[in-house]
Amino acid sequence: MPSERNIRTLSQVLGYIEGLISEHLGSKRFWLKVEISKINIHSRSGHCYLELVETENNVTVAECSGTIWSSSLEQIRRDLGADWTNVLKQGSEVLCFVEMTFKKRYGLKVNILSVDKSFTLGELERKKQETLDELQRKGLLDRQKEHRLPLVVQSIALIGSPGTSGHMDFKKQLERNDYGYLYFVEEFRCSVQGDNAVTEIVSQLARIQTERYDLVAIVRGGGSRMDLEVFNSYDLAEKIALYRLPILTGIGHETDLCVSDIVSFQHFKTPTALGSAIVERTRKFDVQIQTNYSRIMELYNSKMMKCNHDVINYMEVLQNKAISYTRLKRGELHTQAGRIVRDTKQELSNQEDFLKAAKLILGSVPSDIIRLKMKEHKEWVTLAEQNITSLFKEHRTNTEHSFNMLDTLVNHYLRQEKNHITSITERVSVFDPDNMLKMGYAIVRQNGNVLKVGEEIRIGSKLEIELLDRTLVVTVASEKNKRKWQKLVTKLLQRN
Amino acid sequence: MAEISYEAAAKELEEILEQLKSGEITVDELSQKVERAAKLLKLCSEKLRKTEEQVQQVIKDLNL
Repeated sequence: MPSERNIRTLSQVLGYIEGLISEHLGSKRFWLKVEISKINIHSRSGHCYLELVETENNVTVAECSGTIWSSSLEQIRRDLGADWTNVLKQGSEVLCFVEMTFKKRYGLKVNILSVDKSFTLGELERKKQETLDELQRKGLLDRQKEHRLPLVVQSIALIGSPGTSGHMDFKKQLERNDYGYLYFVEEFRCSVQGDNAVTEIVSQLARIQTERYDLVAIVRGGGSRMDLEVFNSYDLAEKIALYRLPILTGIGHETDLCVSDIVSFQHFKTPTALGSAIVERTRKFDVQIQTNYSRIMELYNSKMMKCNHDVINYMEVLQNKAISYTRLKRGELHTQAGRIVRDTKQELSNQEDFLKAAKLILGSVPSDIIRLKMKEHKEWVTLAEQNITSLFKEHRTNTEHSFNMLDTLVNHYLRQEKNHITSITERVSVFDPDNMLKMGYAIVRQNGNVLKVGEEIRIGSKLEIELLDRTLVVTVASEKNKRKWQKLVTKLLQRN
Repeated sequence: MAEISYEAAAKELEEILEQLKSGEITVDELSQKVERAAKLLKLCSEKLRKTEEQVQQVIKDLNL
């Protein structure tokens, strides 16, 4: 039944709550750490209306509206200084001194009385560190360092806000450099602070036709610490890290480097410094060329000088050597000539000596020989004479001797012969035919010839038989054999 | 005799002298050899003298 319900009005309920809150929290003021998800400043009233949230892993876990009354806001602005817009902005986390208010009309509100500057800054630092850590994890921190700048930078894509001091400083450095170097600078305008800065910078980066430039320069004149937050943005840093050209930053700041500085190819304290560095790079190259040229010339000159010296030296040495060589050879020739003369004379002299000796020999030796031969001859003759004389003597003696002997022998012989003959004569006389005939032998002849032994005698033939005193002429009547007288005597003798 | 060289003459001369010294030569050969030797000696002397003259001239020409 509707009447049984305890029906309240909104104002009753809210009033009750208001009372409760007032009672428990009314005068309490405390420090609140919270994130601003929305912020809006009423221009007319000067009040600031915010939406505050607390997120966990990007999920909102608590939410509340907030206010900053214009009076507080003014104070806060003074406290924060120029940075206040960066502190009190969407997305930033703040540490603020607050009181909770509850009004039936407006509900629960967090009323911000003051803001801790250093917290937000600390938060910013923390966020910055987080950004850096994230970049590190993704290996983007040093990506830009892999680029190489050309020896001379001539064409530059300039990202910045024209008309700002930083921008103009940079350009002045390039356009009015002391050495008259010319640079081609293309401007890509964008704002470098405020909420849109990151988006604008990123889109300009995307626009750049990278093949036409040597590098991108991002410049910004000095600003507050909060303004610097643009360049701590993760998005921007990522784009820079992955960019196809080297990006050089000249972001004026007092102490810390921002994330963009860290990921860029090279950072400079100010736009002026960046511009000046580019000019100096060109200058360095210029000087290097000059120096190299000078060195080359120097080396060339010293080498030429050395070569000339060497040539002169060589010529001198050559001359000296040639002279001393000819001198040496002349000396040798001289010596040789001397030797030849000496040897010739010696040889001639030797031959003369030889001939003299020969003459002497011929002069003496043949006569000596002849003398010798004659002496020999004489000796021989004498010897021969002697021999002959003695021979003769001997001969005579021998002859006499022989003669005597001969005499003796002849006599002997004669005597012997005489005897012999006598003996023979005696013997022979025995056989004197007269004796024989006396003895009774007869000589038988046939036709006047004495009969020979064995001669055939025909019967009837005539024979002459001589006797001592006569000769008988007989005729053969017959023949008979006979016994020989042979050996009769012998046998007789033998018997005796 | 006209074309014999000094060397040959000297050599022959030396041979004859050797023979004389060693007594190889018979009486028959003696006079013949001695005559030959004398001829050779004369020839050598003549050649030597001529050579000496020439050498002197050459030396003089070279100013040695």
